[in-house]
Amino acid sequence: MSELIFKNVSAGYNGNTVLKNVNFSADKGRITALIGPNGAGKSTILKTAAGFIKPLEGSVYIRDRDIVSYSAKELYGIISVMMTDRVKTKYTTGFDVVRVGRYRFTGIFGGLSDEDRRVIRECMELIGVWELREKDFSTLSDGQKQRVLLARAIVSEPQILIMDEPASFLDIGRKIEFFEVLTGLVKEKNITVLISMHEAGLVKKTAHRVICISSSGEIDAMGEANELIRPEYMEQLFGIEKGRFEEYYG
Amino acid sequence: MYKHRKNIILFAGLFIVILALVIINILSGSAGIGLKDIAEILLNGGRGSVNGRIILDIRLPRILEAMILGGALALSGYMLQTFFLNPIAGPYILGISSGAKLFVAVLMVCALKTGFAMNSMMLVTAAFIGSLIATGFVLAVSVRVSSMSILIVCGVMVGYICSAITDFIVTFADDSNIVNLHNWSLGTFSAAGWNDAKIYIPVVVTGFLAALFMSKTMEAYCFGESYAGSLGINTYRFRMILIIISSILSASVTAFAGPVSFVGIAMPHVARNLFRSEKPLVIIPASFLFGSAFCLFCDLIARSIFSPTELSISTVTAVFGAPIVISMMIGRRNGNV
Repeated sequence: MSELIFKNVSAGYNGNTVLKNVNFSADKGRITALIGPNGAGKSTILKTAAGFIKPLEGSVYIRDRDIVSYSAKELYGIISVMMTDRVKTKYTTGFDVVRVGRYRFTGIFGGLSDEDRRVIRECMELIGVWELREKDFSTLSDGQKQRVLLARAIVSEPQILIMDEPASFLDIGRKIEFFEVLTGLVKEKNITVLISMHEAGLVKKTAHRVICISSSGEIDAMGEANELIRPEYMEQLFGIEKGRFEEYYG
Repeated sequence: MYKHRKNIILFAGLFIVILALVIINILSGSAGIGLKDIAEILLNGGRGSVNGRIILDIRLPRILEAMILGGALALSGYMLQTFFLNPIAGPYILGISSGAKLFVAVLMVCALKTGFAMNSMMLVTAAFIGSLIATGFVLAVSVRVSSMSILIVCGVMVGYICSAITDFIVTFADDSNIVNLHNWSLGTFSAAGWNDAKIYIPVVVTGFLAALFMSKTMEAYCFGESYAGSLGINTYRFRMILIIISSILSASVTAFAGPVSFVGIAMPHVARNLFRSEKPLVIIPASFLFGSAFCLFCDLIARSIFSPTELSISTVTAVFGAPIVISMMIGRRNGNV
């Protein structure tokens, strides 16, 4: 079942078209990864899917309804977003960060019900960050921070999770850890994930489906990760000299 | 739970400090009035005697004004800091207080020249219009530059321009009232009276309650504008309300006490660091109380250190506030936000 569908979507900023005529869908319980060179428009797809920018042409359907027909409240009851903005805080604990994700459920002054506490704890335990609940967020390692932010993204009990390169500045060990957690999460919660990523090797292991965006802002290919993540194709997509991809990643 | 108890103790401590400052403020002054006389005046009401009038009509309204307006200023600064997502912001340093000052000075001079009766409400309105214009300018700059330091330099420049025009107006408005006008334009709580309190108390209380009701959204907004948007918050509307309430609060301070420096920028910082928290629900009342205590303390020094000559309040707040801001900036350089 497709939870998120792009139909003939063109999108961009200030009238400049970045994406041209994009068609794809993302299915429930599966991880759909966007790959492609920097500047190709992966973030633009994510922002359009998240409702941050309106498509210039075409439509985005969330659960068979046009995204523009949703109110912000309805839309963000279904979608949860994990973008790249860094959190700048000093005296905010891991728990505080995750708690804010419960925004739409909490009381007028942000008070938590027992149900809120239960869900926060469940999500933090699922992601393995419950023991970071009393630590100041600013003192956590990058890997821990990203996992706390992942917990924050799922405490709102979303159906669709949209993530923009969540692991790009982590070291390889933390990257693997992060994607393992994400894979486990999708299995457990049966949610739809649309994610942009850079790590070709990890895409293979993590994503059920890959959508390749070329530097001209169009979909170049899509399909199973194992079929697409091949040296020859990667070289073509990223504009690498022949044989070079194999040399470094093989 | 441990954190709750810590906050309660800190709030209790703040109340005690404020109470102590209020008592010291009532006691000190050029007319030496003893504790016993004061107690009697407060209990029986004693406007009949000179001492009674000094306590009830001069010292008490002044204490109340320093307390309420000091708190309002700190809260206004905190809301501006939330707006810019940057702790180095305040109504004085961004030129907003000076914009308000200019408009109030124009109104006062017009009133003196033409002889029409001016009331407190008109003062607040003029100050509000002036601060909105200055704020509008700061916002226009902020969409063009992303650096907070450039924004602050622009704010300081706007402050200088507004102050220069105000000085010009004040210099050419020859009248016996000019002394008051001059004192006011430097910032002072000395003109405090009960009639003004009827205006600023409802304004500040409304602003404070509005801030509390926005605290949940403020907290979410601190994690970034686009993140707040992804929680379903209308960030444009939220930011507008935030800046308008902040302007109303700082305008009411400027209307009655003139421009008061460094309270808005420094007190929220002190509150965050002492409470070791960034929760708006804690920091809003904490900033307010720190602003109250700080202004009571600075006003005490302003009026007693060279008594009977009074210093302007901004002179004293700058001496204590500026070092706090400098330490904040050094702290940020070293990576502790």
